[in-house]
Amino acid sequence: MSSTRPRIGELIGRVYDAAQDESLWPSVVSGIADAFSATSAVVSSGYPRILAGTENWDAQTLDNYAKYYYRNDPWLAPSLKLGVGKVFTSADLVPDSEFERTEFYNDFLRPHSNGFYIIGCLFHVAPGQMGMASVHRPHARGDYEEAERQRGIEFIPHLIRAIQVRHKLTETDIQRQIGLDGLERSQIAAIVVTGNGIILHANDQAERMLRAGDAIRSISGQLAAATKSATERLTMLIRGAIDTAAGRNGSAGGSVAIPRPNRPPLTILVAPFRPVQRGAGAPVPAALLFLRDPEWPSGLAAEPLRELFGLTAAEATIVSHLIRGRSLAEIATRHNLSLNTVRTHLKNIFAKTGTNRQTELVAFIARTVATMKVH
Amino acid sequence: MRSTGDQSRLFELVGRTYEAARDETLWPLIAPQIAEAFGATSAIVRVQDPVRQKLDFLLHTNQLNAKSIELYESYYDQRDVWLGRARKLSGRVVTSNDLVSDSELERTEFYNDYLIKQRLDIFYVVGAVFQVTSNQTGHIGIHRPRSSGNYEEEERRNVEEFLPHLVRALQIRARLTHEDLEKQAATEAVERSRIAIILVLRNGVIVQANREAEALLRAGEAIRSVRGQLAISSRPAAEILAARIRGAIDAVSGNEGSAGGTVLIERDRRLPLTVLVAPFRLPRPAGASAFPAAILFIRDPERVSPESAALQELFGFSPAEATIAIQFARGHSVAEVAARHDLSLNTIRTHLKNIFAKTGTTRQAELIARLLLSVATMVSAAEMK
Repeated sequence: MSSTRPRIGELIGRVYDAAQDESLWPSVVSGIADAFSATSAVVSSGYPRILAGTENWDAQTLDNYAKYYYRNDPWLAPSLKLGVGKVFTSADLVPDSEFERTEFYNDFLRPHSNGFYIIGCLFHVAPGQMGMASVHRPHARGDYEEAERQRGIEFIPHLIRAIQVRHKLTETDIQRQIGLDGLERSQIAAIVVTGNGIILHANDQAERMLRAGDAIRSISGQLAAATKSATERLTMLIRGAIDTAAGRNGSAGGSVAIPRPNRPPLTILVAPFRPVQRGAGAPVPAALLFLRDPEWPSGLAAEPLRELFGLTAAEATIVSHLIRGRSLAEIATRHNLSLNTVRTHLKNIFAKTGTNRQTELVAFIARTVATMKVH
Repeated sequence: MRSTGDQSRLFELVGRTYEAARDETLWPLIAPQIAEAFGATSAIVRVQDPVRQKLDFLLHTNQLNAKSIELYESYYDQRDVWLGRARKLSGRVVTSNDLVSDSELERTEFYNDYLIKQRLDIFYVVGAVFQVTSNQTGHIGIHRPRSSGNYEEEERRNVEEFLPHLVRALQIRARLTHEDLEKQAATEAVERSRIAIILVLRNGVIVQANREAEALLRAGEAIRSVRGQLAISSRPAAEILAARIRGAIDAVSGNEGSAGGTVLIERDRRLPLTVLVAPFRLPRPAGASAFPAAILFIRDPERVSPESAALQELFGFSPAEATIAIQFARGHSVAEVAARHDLSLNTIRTHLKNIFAKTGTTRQAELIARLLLSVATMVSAAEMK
């Protein structure tokens, strides 16, 4: 028995590795089958769908179980009755003679894995989400013994926790991805800085601005603006925001425009940032900077204007010039059109967007999803 | 020969350590459990980020009181003879024996001015220096008094068995913390921009909605939630939206899809809502296949308006100029603004001239775009409500 100890210890580690790396589950499940002298094993993180099974559970078999056989799985009802979170063996669930006669055994288990005896557990993954883990072996190998059940009691809590960790990581992934998608689409740059201006985090958009370096840049990890006065103002705002984040009386941030040569200024909003970090991690009071470049919608994409308002390609081009501040005369010259042609287009644009004036048109378009990154 | 009791205690500790990785609030309980599991009087776990030169994570038993920890962090960590030598043996579990002789330890500043003067009653150590992530290094120290004797090989091996689990749990923690930082920064940007975000499945079931979206759904004017399912009042818009959602989800599942698109939703006597539909892709491929969803970005033009204080800060507007600029940003004409504020056309024109000068613009449409594409339209309040 003590020879299996290190094996369980190692298996525990692999289970938590799989929580972080989805591709490891198949090998972990085979490891579990080995550790319990079983011929098959399955793990579910959202019952009755199976997350991973040993090789004898191919895709079709897993599908058959999730769609049909779980409903007459003779182990299910007694294990629920025994209690969620309780480790069970065949002896706790169904007499052998009864199990032998079930459709589940004869039509399902027997043909693909010949499983007959089981050690397993049903458990909670999240509210409304049940998980299941079990190992099986043929009738000829005999029922699981007390020592093996003890091993299950020792090991299965780790498997359950690993599935819960996996669930939490996935949830965090989803939340994070929603935020990142929104940020990228809105064409806003975001930077997190500490009190001394050290950059803790910058999104892709912000990294590009730092590299361009005409408004802001990073000097050995520290944020600086292109001009001295802008850097001073930015530093002051960051300090105020961090005082507020640290619970002291601060200015709570504010905004600043950073001038750029030959381009409209970049605008920056500075706000206090308190990352929610409980427990033993030391939360660092920080400031969150949002940056917008008015030239980003580098010519509005034609596609959303066509989809949203039914604009033609020519009309969409005119709208994208207007939002960049160009006059009708400039647009006519650029595209080699008569001023009258441009005016006719504009009349159609007004009709299609329900607006009456250039200013009204620009004010409306700039507040729609057309200014977001479409692809 | 190891006793079964030792093993059970170790497995118990391993379990609790992973539990803490999942639930941050449990970490403080881990240090005393480490001390107990390895027959020690005190224990410390520390993770540092050398690039940013900051302490990232610290656990310690109560015996190491706040005062002694402060002294350690500010000075004695540089004088810690064990830590200095264990760094050269990174990744290995070592005991006092591997690091420094008893007589040598007795002669160090670390021992005399720190361990003795702080009355820590620490003489022997077992521990390790380890790498958590590419930019985080950690160390664990498990200590006991001279009277308990040096750590023996069997005890060292027990710690060796525990170490990979501690490191893995700290890695999970690092990942959750880092992703949390990114998530919070991004989420705040979106909230401040008043962009509503809804995550939906193929059948229109709403999986997630941010605050702005919740408010929009509650108002229920053109778009609402009916038993958890997205519902649009306008029939043609509903059909286009459903088609876009299907197209986006097909693109996620790897089928030929239209990859989403945009939809306009008309409202009664109000500016229409616009929706951008896109495939929702998780960074990990295995996760994505299990989660086919479309992400919807919705903008309500009437919720987007520059803030007066921000306009004053950004462009040096006077309060009156800021008020007028906000009216222009809503698309009102000079005549409309004059009528609303009971001012003459000439007064408004003078303001406009100053506003042009301060923003470096020459035309009204250009000015409006500049205002609406600045951070002035983002909610600036310190606390987002």
